[in-house]
Amino acid sequence: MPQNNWNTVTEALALADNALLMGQRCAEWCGHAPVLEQDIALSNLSLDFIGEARLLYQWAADQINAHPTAFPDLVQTKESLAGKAPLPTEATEDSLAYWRDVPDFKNHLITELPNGDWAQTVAKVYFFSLFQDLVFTAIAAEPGHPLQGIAQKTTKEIQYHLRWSKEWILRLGDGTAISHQKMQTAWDLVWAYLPELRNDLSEAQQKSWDQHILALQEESSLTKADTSIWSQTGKNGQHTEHLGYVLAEMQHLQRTHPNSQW
Amino acid sequence: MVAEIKAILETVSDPEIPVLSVLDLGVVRNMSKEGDAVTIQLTPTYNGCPAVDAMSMSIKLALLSAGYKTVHIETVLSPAWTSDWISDEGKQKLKAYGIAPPIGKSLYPEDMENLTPPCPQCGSEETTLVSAFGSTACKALFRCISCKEPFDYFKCH
Ligand SMILES: [Zn+2]
Repeated sequence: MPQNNWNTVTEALALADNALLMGQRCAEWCGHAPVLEQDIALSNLSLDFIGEARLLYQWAADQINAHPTAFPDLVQTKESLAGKAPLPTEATEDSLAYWRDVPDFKNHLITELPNGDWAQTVAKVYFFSLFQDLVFTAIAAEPGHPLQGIAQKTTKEIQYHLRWSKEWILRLGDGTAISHQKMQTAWDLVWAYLPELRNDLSEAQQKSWDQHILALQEESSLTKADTSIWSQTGKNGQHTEHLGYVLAEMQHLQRTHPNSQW
Repeated sequence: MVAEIKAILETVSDPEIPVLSVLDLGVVRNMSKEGDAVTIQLTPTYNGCPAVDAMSMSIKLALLSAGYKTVHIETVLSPAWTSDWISDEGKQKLKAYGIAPPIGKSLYPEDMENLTPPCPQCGSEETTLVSAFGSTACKALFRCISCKEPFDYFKCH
């Protein structure tokens, strides 16, 4: 099979892993958000992210099943792991979400970070949504790109996520002394994970990325983060300690009772 | 022939907004028939909308119980669903049900803070946004300043 398709399957999996983890993290707020409307907002975000992940995993699974020899690690034959019920012998959206382990996940590290406080959550959602917006807008405009349909659908939803997170960053950054300080702390913390996102953008996209962030930073009275450490290893399957824990929580039901249905 | 299928689909409703049929909602892109096999093409409203799986199942059941032997449901993602595809009749049904229908045409999310959809309860145009995210992915929550009632607004999308 052409090298291009291999790259696109890898790309789709990375985008799907990103969305799935953001969906799982946003869902952690369910029942804990400061007010009901925000609880609902985060559940909505979570549903959107999981919906994106499903479409991307389904597409990747179809490619994998059509060319199983090209993807030996992704065709599910992990009976030994389950030991209870036979697993699907071909890739499905579920097998890709539930039966891959930490080194198999290709997500950007920002998506696996814990939610922290409210400020950290909105900062994560903002930067991630900005990244998604740039990436999916480009795919949506590329005729013949196999993910074009998914991208067109997704860009519409991203606008709501961007707007919601920007409003909160403005409100906290430009709010009281305490809210400002919390927003700045979150900004500094998440900043370390931004180069990994930025490096996966084209030069023109990087320009747009910088402009958007700078504009919001100024408008929200935030100052440039004083962080220089950063890491870019998600794509290679090297993750922070957080991923193992979040996967354990997300996957344990399927792994304990394989093929169980909700 | 297709009219027959259409009549059956009229009876299949959106599980989250039961006054709307799948045809009113505009999610059915195409239907075709060959012998006793039917193929329906569906476009999901929102990526993560759980109603889509339910609608696809209901369509299948309705057609099978009407006597068709094979029913294929195909998902079509492009062009993406837009609230412009809700039929005029569908918009009237939404309003009667207490949900303000989407205002205007939309390719991009509207500036919702500045939007004042008329209150489906009392018709007042003095309304205000409570939250851009409502009880389901497709709705936002508004409040009527005149009658003080909250109401759902079906987002332009
Ligand atoms: Zn009213």
